[in-house]
Amino acid sequence: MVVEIENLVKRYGDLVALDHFNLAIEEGEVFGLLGPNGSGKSTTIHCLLSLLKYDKGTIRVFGQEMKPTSYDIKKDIGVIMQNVAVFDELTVYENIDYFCGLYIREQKERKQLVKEAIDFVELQDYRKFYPKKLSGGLLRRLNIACGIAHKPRLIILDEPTVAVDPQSRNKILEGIQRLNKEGATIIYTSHYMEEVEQICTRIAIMDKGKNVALGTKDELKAMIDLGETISVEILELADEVKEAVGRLPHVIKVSYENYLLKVKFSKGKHNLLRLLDLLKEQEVGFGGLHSELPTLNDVFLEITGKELRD
Amino acid sequence: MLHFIYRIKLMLRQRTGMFWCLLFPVFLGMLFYFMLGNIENLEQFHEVPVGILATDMESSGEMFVETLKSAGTEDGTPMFAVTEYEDKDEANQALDAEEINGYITIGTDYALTVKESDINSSIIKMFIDQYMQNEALIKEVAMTHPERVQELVMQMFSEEAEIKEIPLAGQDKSPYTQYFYALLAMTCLFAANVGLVNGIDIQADLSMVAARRNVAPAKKMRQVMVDFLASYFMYCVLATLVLGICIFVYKQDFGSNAGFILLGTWVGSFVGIAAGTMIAVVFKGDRQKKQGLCVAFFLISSFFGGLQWGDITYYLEKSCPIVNRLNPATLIVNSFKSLAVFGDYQQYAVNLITLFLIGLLFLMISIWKLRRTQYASL
Ligand SMILES: Nc1ncnc2c1ncn2[C@@H]1O[C@H](COP(=O)(O)OP(=O)(O)OP(=O)(O)O)[C@@H](O)[C@H]1O
Ligand SMILES: [Mg+2]
Repeated sequence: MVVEIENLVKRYGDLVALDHFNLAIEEGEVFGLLGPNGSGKSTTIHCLLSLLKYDKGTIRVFGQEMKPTSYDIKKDIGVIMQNVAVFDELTVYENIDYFCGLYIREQKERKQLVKEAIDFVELQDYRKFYPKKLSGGLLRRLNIACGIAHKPRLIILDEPTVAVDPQSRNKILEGIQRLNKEGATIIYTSHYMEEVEQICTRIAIMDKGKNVALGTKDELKAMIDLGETISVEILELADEVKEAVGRLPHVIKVSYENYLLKVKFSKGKHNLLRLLDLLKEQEVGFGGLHSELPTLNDVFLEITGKELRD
Repeated sequence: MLHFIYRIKLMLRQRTGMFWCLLFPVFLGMLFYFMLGNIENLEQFHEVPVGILATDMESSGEMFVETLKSAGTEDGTPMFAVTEYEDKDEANQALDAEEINGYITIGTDYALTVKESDINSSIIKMFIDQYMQNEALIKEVAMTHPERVQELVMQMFSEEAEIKEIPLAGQDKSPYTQYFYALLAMTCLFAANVGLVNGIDIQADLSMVAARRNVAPAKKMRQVMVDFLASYFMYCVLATLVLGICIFVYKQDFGSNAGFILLGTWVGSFVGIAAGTMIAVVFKGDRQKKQGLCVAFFLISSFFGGLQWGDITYYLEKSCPIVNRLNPATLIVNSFKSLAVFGDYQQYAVNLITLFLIGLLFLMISIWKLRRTQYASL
């Protein structure tokens, strides 16, 4: 186990930010921590890094208990915090060199590592820029470079892609997967389920400081009843027809909004066929039609009764 | 070493910080230089314009005029600017036009005519009195050793007359040097800003970079010491620079005490940085609040140190002397004064050692508090 968190409780005054939270991450995983704002992702990470005092629980990293003075553990961890953490007075190159220097003393080795980190986030043209002169996305990339330059075995990323444009975001995600292939274990927090689905081998879904579901994305989707969601564009839908749709087998929920009929089916066969037959029978004209497999949002919705995104 | 150098770079690039630490004292010094410089010039000795009215001059009268012309201050500037007039109207005109402060009518004795009695007219009067008292001696010397007349006159004046204000003791050449002591003390106290930034940059609940530094395997105490040493080194250079500007640009002559004063600013800067670090570490609150506390420390310490209003130390000495013994600003200024005004090296040493101990205490408290390595909230 690379990370083991047991029964972690963290209170901020009266607010219980982590409520008997458990987590176990194995070597080589890209582990996703998914949860809405305020669910306790960052708090988990800060506790894991021994930055925060916690009220209860045990945390082990690389099989050893994690303490503020666990320098031999810390040297193998790379952290990218949610908030950009760089010195405004140092340039891109100097910032990476500064933070890498906290891990790697040897100058020649560090120089090479800094260069690789700059290449990794593609900031070659911005080496001499001060953070203030970087756009939001470029700044995020600098933030990432500062965290991974020393080639850690465990990389923790707390929403690293906020404000990054889709193109750079894809680059970053690819990069993370590459680091993983090179042997690093990754912990990735986000409230973007698409990202988590795209790169994570295993996902924990958090809500209100609890781990509400855990598994691969397919396992998570299999956990819920929902099999597929079929949407049909219909100009006019009579209430009787809507009710008739609701009586079809496997139907969980029917909604009609903005000329769009959405039908959620539990797992079962011939759902689409039955729906189309019914519409034809009722002589309802329809336009576009598509079917979606469940997303992690659906998983979250079903488990907690609310949307992942506000 | 890497982080030592980066810390210095960081400090140099913090524009606002550098403004306070370097430019402010330099500007203030410039202000002192020009304002006080002018006052000083007014009070500095200028030759007194004096007229001579001699209708029929005897040899004794010529002797007097010669002596008058040759009278000078220690550094050789003549004491009087002498103009000779042929008749009374002419002399009166010059007096009315304030071209001269007075004229001396030479007859059987020396009669002085002045318009108003001010310091210059008393100087002329004094000269006449002195001359008359010593006339015989001067004449004799003039006859036997004419080359020594000037020396004699000078001696006569330095013994009897206090034309220039003479400082208490020590080597203070200008009564305004104390303003520069205050300025140097302020420079030292400004170091608190630097210490504050150091303290903020290592606490994860106060800055993001600190969070990053705290999760790194580099020991926290080591990082704290590197920051401290780098900023202290930097600040000593800066204090030296400010002192250098005072000496070479603003022409403050500290004499042979310059070295001791430099040492004083170094110890003072140590206290300043330690105080700022302690403020960042000990008090609860966010960055703004701590910056406010830092300014408060600066103002209170400098106020009680008499940097704004000199008399405060006097009242404190009467009502609450402990403040004068412990207040960093007071200690810095007193260490300078004890040297320059009283030439008292023991007092200087006591002040500096007290300062150093206070700084050490601040630093120890900060380090002890910083050992708390986990935060309740970020
Ligand atoms: N310093 C703090 N003081 C008090 N409460 C806090 C503090 N930091 C976080 N919290 C609370 O703890 C809970 C968990 O916060 P946390 O930052 O861990 O959420 P998160 O999952 O990272 O959210 P986000 O997606 O917005 O980053 C929230 O309810 C938050 O309001
Ligand atoms: Mg967060």
